[in-house]
Amino acid sequence: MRGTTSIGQPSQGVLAASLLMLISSAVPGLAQSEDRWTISIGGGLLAVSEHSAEGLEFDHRLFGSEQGEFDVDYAGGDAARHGFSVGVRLRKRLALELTQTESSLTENVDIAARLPHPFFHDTYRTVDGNSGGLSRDETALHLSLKWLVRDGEKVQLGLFAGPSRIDLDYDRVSAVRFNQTYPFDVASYAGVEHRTASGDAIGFHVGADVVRWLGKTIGLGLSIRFSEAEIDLDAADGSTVSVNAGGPAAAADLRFRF
Amino acid sequence: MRRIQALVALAAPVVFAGAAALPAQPVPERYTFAATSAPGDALRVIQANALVEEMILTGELARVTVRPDRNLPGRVHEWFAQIHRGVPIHGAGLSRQSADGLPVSVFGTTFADVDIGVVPSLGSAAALGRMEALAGAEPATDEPPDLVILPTDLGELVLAWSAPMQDLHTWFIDADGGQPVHRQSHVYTESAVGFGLGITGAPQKVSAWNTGVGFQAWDRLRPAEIVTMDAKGELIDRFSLFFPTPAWQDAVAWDDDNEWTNASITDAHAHLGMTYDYLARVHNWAGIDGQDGRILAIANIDRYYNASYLSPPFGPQGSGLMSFGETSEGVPLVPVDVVAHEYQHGVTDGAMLARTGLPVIGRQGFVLGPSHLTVDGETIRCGDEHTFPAIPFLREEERHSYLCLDETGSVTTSRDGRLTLWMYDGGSIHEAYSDIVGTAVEFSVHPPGEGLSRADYLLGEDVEDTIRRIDSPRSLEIRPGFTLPDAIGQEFRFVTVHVRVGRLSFIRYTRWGTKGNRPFRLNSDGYNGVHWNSTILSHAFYLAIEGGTHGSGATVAGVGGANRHLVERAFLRGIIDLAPPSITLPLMGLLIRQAALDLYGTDATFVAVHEALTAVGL
Repeated sequence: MRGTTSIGQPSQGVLAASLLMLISSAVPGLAQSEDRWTISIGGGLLAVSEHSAEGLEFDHRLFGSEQGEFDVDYAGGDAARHGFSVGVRLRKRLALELTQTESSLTENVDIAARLPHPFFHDTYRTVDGNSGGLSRDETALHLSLKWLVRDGEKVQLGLFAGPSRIDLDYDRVSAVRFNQTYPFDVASYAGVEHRTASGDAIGFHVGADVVRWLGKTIGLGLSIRFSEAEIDLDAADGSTVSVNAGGPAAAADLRFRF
Repeated sequence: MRRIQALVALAAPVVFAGAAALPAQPVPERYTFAATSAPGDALRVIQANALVEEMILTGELARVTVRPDRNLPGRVHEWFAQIHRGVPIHGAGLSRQSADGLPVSVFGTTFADVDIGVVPSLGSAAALGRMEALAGAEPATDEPPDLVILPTDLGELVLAWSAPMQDLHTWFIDADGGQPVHRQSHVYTESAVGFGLGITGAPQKVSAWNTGVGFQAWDRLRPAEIVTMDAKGELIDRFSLFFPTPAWQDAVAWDDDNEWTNASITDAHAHLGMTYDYLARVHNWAGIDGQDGRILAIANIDRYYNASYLSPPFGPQGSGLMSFGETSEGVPLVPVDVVAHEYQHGVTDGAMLARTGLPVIGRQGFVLGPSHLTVDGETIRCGDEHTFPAIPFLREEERHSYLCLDETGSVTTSRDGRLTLWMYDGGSIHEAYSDIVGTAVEFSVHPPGEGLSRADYLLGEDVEDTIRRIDSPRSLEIRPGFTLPDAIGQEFRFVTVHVRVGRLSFIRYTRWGTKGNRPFRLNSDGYNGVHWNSTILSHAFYLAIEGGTHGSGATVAGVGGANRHLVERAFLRGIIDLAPPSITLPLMGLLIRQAALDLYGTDATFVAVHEALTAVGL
């Protein structure tokens, strides 16, 4: 679910945009003006925090009735982010905005694992290591009410907040790969196995932006936004793990008003 | 040659030399060598080495193997077999250890003044036919019989044909007359003492092989494959696996889902692996044969033989077979010490075979006893005949005179003669090493303590009937008043009869004997007492580790349980790397001291080993 669905079903973004137009037309007393609508398109960074860590068990054909255990610490990082938004002014300083963003992060993990001995019960080998190449993709839809603190001819400054819906596709570590030879008293780290877990949740966002209008229609904007949604993902061992999606983000964009 | 042999050889105790005057024909001199690297023994080593070189030049010694030391860089072990006119003297030869080309130690036995013809009047095919008739079984292999010179227990040398037969014995027959002169069993079995209740029930990991449709008890993780077969209680299956057959693959234990529910298979397979691991980790020994050859075992046999090891060339692949049955109460005989015990029988023989081409032969020796023994009002005396009762369909009744000697050392049937009391050193050493490794493996996988799945110095305790305890042998009785021995002088010795076959003389054990000065008569043969007498050597092992005061009053400063591997390595090196095939308990004591010297010099470990062996009279 990255904002696209199968044929015949409108995307969340389209639905939200339609809702936005419906709201704008339904709000009474709004005068048509030349700059009522705004559209922006831009990109930036989403800072994914290092808060995602978990401990899991996993099976291996040489573990017998015991299970291996590992602690994984997802390193987080700065995800490339792009998006677009559409907004409508509801009152003189009040606007409604709908923003869709997509971010993608290739993430590293730190692993510390305990591996049961193939021959003996309650005898473990420990391995640790680091692997990369795990994908974390977020698609977020933010519906914002924006208050224009400053609404000048050339500069606008706004504060906004509202609900967010975040879809997350996350490569989660499901098992640790290792090398071992007889007598199997030690093992060495060889990487991880992973599977993509998906989920979504409704959260919130707050932020601010500033626009420098370069002319009647075009401007450059800068925005900062903090969003968060707690998403439950199915862990590899069948349990559920909660992941905080979103985070602080900064973006620059090109804006149009009409 | 004879002078130098006499110069270098050990002072021969009576157990070695007493038989010299027995047979009618001239008997060659037998010399036992133990030239060690102990301080003060340097001249003996030089002399022994000179003897080796001279006998090589004269063609009396032929080098059979030369192998690098498994644990000490620069050390080399050679085995030289004694040859007489191209025919090997069975078990005779010298084992030489060298360091950077210089001799370190020499052990073994040689014969001087050998004067025996080596042209058999019986051809090899006829000999094989004769052995078939004697054994009531076909040859065990397709190999032709070997021509050897066999030293008998009474000191004669006999030109003999030798071949393993399907009755699980290697037969030796006189190469001239065809009479049987010796047979060596390939079965090492635990005594038939019944055991008590069940095994531990502790969880085990089973290293199995996934066939795609199920799992076999076939360990392919270890360098040597370990295969456990399942007799499913049908004795006939086990017998069929005594001989090379591809059918063994159909008998491999099986489980559908790899959650093994058969306790006998589970424990046998897991404990075989643990024994492999112990020998590999602590002793750098690979499998049973030292070359990581496939290890085969079968469990769930019935109560026949209880637990046993069958040595090559028998077994489904001709490489031996361990068998594990159950107690008289139906409890599987697969605790770790029992499994390791049988495994070590294979190692003891396998190491000797790899190094010398021969299994452990061992020797039997005697001391002179009284002229008669009385037990429960029944008396046997020199001059009497002993009756071996008939066994229907197998053996007719036999009567032979007790083997007695007069004051000149000649065989006599006079009432004034003295009974000869015999002990089988080789078998006792075999059993001692199996108990030593059984104990060592138990300590390697269980924490010390009492009870189930705890390491101790008891054998068979996890099936709730301790058959031996090497920490305190004298606390166990085989019958009221007869405890297991913890020193030379307390051993079980047996009265024998004198069997004359044509021009040859042999001995045969009776169930009469003495322990110390006390006579006994057994209800069973007791496997010649080898299990009971094994506790002399195994108790020394215990003392070297734990220390303490021996029953004789001797005090031993053991190395302590934390250093047990040091003692284990010294003892195992003695049998695996140094011992000649023909060994006695006193010689084994010297070999173990040499092993400790090799590994540790004269430090505390050597002192502990030396004191322990001295305490038990070795």
